[in-house]
Amino acid sequence: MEHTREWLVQRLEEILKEILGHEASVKESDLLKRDVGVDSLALVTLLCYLEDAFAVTFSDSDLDPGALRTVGDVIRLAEKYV
Amino acid sequence: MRTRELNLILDVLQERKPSGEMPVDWYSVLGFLEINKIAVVFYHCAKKLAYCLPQTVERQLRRMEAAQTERNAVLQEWAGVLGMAMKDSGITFVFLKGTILQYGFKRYSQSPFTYSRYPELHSVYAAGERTSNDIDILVSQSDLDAVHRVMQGLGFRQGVWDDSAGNIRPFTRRETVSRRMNRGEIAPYVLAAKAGAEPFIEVDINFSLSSLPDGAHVEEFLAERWEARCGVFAMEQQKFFLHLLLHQYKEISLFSMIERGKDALLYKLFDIYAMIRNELLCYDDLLAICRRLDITDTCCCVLSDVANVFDSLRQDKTFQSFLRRLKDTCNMAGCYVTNTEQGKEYVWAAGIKRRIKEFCHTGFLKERT
Repeated sequence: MEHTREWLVQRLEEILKEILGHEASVKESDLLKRDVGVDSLALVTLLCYLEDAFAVTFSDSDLDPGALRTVGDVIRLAEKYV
Repeated sequence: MRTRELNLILDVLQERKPSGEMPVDWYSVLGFLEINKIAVVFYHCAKKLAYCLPQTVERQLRRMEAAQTERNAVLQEWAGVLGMAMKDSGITFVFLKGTILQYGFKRYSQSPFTYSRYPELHSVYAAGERTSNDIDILVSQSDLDAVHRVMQGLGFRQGVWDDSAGNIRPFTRRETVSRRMNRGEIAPYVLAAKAGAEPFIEVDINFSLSSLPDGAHVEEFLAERWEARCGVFAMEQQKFFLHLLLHQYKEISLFSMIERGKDALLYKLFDIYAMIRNELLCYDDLLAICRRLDITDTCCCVLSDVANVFDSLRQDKTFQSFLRRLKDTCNMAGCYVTNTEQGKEYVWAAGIKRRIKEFCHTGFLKERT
């Protein structure tokens, strides 16, 4: 099954709702911390949820805190694996 | 610890006959030496000085020496195994700190002709002298996946050694991701050792130069590496020294390190002092690299601490001249400590020599307003 970007964004919003406890409508340019409210702990949870949801394991070289600042960064990471 | 015991330890480490007050609290001295991982160096320096130690203290130090020699031999053997496996996988890497410090370095006190053609190699430590708990390796971030495959292939797992259970407690995925994302570190690789007094081997994979941002200058520090022995690669000598300074700066400038008591461990300061004392540095080269990489403030801060602790460096005119030249290019007033979790910044309210005497150092931090 081919996963579209829209599908990925939708899955991400579902996961964010579960983690943050409220609806989250996101844009790719949104900063995770400032715009979405994903702090460092929530980001770890988000990444683990994504791994479980897509049955993948992100490699250490891809888990770069400096390169995962926006919603788009997370989507691009997930795209690489699904 | 009292000043008299600290002065005695520092005198012996600088190979000066102690002239301080007596009696000495040897319980305090032994505890300090062990916590600061400098006991065997102290023991060897005392022997060189023919300084008479109480029999029970000497016996205890000899035991520590034997245990450390055995541990270091195991670590060195594993360094060779890891190095060969990484070399075969085409990974560019260097070993850091303790693994390298017992190999020979070029001496710069010789004439340029001699050291360039026929270098007299000089080891900072004898085997078993320098305490090492783990093996540290530096790689580029782009090689992390290849390193992971090598480590798994050798049977290592990411986790911690559980002393009470006598086995490895593997990290949960959440712990591994959290280390990577929040501390910028790879979870340590651990292997249960098959035999001997050492129950486990721990390997830390680094992909940044301690206090510098992720990836900054790593390629430059991996270039010009040399093979100290089969598979055991080291950084070029001056860069190796600079890495010790950058690493120490991380320990004194991150609140989380200070909380763990890592900021004033004497063995790390002694590593730096020993390289200076043994004339293993080319100051012109060091200064040029510091300026080019914009790390003069960092290096100056750490070297000032080292010179405060090991005051015999006041007599070293070449080093003093280097420190003055370094200070001339600094902008910073001192070292700022950051607490990333709470978004706070501090300054040190006491000098290194005062801090070393105390077990807990967070009380010496003053919040910046």
